Amino acid sequence: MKKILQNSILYLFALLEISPLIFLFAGTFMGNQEVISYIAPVLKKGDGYASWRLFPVFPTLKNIAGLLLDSPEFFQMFWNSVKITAAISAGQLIFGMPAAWGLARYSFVGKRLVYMLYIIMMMMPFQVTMLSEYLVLDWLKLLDTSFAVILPGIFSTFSVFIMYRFFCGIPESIIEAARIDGAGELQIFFRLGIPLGASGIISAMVLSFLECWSMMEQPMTFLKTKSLWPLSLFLPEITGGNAGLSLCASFVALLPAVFIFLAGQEYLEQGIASSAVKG
Amino acid sequence: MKQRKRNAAFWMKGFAWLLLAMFLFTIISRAADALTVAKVSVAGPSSRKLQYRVSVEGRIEKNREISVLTCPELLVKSIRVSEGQRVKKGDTLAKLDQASIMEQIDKLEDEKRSLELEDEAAEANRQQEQKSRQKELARAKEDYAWLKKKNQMALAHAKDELEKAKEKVKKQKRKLNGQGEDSVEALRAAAEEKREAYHALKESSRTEERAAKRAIEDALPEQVSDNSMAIHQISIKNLNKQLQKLLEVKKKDGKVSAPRDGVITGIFAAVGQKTADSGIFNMTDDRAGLRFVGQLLAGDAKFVSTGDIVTIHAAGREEEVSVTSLEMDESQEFIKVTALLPAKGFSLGETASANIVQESENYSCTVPLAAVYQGDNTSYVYLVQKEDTILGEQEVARKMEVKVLEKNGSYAALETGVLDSESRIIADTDRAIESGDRVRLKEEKG
Amino acid sequence: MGKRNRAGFCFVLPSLVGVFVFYIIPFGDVIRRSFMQAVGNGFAGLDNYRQVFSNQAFCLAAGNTLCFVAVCLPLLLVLSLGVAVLLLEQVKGKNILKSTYLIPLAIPAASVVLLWNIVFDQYGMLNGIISFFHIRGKDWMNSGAAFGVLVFSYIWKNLGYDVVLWIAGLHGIPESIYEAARVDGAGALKCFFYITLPNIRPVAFTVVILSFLNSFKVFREAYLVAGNYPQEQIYLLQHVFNNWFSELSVDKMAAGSVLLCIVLVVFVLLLQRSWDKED
Repeated sequence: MKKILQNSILYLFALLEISPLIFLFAGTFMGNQEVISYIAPVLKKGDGYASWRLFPVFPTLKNIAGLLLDSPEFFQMFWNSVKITAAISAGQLIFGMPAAWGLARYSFVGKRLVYMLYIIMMMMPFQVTMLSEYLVLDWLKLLDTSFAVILPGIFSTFSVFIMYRFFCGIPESIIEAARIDGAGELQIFFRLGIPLGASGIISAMVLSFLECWSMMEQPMTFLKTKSLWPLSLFLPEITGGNAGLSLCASFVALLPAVFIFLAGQEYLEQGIASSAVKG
Repeated sequence: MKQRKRNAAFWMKGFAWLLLAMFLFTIISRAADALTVAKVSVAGPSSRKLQYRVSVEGRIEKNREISVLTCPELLVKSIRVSEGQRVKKGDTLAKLDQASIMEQIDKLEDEKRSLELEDEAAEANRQQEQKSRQKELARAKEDYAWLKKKNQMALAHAKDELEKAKEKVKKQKRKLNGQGEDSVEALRAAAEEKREAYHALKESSRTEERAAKRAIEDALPEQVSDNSMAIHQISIKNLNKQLQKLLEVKKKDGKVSAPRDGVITGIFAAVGQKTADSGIFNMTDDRAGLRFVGQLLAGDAKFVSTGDIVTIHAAGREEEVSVTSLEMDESQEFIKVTALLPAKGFSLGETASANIVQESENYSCTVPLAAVYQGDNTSYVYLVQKEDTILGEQEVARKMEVKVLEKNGSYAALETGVLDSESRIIADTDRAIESGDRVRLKEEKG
Repeated sequence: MGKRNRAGFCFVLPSLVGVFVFYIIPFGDVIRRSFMQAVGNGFAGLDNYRQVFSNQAFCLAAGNTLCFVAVCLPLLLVLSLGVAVLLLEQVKGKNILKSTYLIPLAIPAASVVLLWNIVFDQYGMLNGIISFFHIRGKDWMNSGAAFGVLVFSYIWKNLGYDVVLWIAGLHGIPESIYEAARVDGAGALKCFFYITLPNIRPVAFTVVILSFLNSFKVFREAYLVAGNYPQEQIYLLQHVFNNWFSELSVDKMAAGSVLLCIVLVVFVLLLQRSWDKED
């Protein structure tokens, strides 16, 4: 009995969590007519209430075909998103990984300060430094280029933090042993640190990917040329006029994120968990 | 763990496939888009006068026709020209028979002579009549004078009698003083008689005198309107003139020559026939030139006004002349356009066309007519503007409302202020476009 | 010691430079500006701070943000803890369920906004369902109920995150204690209240802090759904900052940012303490 109750609660919540995804999926294959017929009340075009269906009455590929075959703008933004996200991820590996390693395994002068700094910066919502970042970017002549979004993203301290916690978890003994064997610091990093902290690195990457993929404030503020916009800005652009298309776009836009998520889920969990517990 | 790793690998592969699919779709959608992008050619607004070309078909006609006259009743010996032939002043057009000329001269002279004789006779008659008339007048006057005298005397006598009778009555009255009216009555009656006699005499004398006066009047010489002499005089004058002409013709050996340069348009005499009263040749007068007459559609009337300069084309020749007249014909569908031409270079009867070019004022902002579209109540053009879109900088077509001031077959003049010299107006497109569509500019050839 | 640690420092250096350029320096500038006038270089002392405190929008936003945190945080914590506990006892489908809960993290805000609009509109689906029970629905988006929408959105997105955190924490409680308790005859509830809760306190702290940080991210949904000037109740701090940015009220922004930073630093210190406590 208890089991059934427990199960039902769990599954109910689970259903709630995943329902938007299902709705979007269903909506992708609905024709514009059907979509409008469901959401007409919301558009002030009908009476009664909006509704939805799990399975479209008239499934059609028209909208998704229209999106995939007929909207080069969508793809322009898609690849912009890919570009930005890939660049940031790569940059975080290059810059963040060593930083996390350094913070985790060494203690140097000012480490505490640096650590605090990093954490504070991680907490700060974008709006706080928005203006000054704008000015710095302007001074660096980076405004209105992709780098305006990429560079600050690379140095976001959140991924450093995640990786740091994982690196912390590597037993010192192994490192010592390697040092005794005569390995240099770099070697230790590359041959021990990275492999052992792999899960942390991956989880950081996944989290960072998810964050980048839906990044919105920075592109809006720093990118003026429309051709540089990432996908997350595309969706607000479409409005009720082509609701079907916008549903499709919403769905397609979340696919890469979901794929990455599913691929790295295990690591993701570990990453999240690491913030909770040490070791 | 291994399960998870396998899962991870699976989803990563899925991700890779997703990216690949996206890449493919990107290419496809771009290709599809490029296909549907309209290719347009643009033009900037230009400054020009709108020209309206109207072409009028017509022919070259004679402008002024003159008649070549000669004396009638002459025998035509030969005709030297044919219709349509161009002659110069002095050219021999026809030759008249000398003998007939002589004949005619003689005939006329005879006529003249007879008239003259008639005149003489008439004159003599006239003199005679005048004399007798005078006699009669004198007589009538005498009669009248005599009558008057006689009447005067008679009248005086009658009056006298009357007075005497009246006296008698008075006396009697006084004598009787109211008695014995009968004698008075007798006297009175006698007086009455006398009075009546007096009056009657008066009347008759009047009548007689009137008659005598009339006789005088009748005898007066009348202002006789005897026109026959004058008529004869006129006839004689005419005859003289004709004779004069005949003599001239004779002097010219019977040649009829062209009075001017021109083209023969009509021949009204025949060899072996007598000339008629009317002219024997019609010809054009070069000095008056020729005339273009064409038909203009009534609808095009606004393009032509008298005085406009038009270009007449005919068989290789062109001439710029001005329009002399425009007339609407009965059917109300056509307007007859007339323009004078110089004689040289054009041939009578040729078909020709007149090109009329009407120019409007100079408009600073004109665009090709194909660039202007009609909306409900407005006209608009599409401008090509560089816009920043998601796909980068693109050329986008944007609607712009304009006001058309005037237009002809190929250009439209627009109100200024809306477009500037930098505007790129879509003059021609290979598919329908709407505001906001991306366009591609056609490459310039050459 | 020195050499090795210097090497460690070198690892950190590149990242540090980037962080400095793109985060620290801008923030320093912000602090500087908080004492200056908006235009020109006049020194303004604490004027800006005073302005900020007396600014109605700011106070409203701060109040709202506080309110929001006060409401959604406990709600989320309780729910996620409950789910975590239940999930732990699951054997079948645990992983799938976890995936389900975590997926919302992967879905970009922009994708779901459309759906939120459809569901929460005055004539949206939610009202439709409610009307089925003959209860009159509210205009969710344009009344005080907008607050509830935001709370719902936050919970939906972060439930999985917290669940994973809790699970990690719960893992840390040795099974032996439970067994011992069960042997003593304690029921599930008793176990929960007397064993689980106390042991979870340190983790709870972390969860709270992290959830708190995530609550800032809810601004994105609010902005996408309701724009720059949303309904009163969901007018958040970030809205204020955004609007100040577009008005170029730099002075107020700077002062507000510094204030916010101070608040956050306090939290960071608390977080630090919780981690340190675990050591």
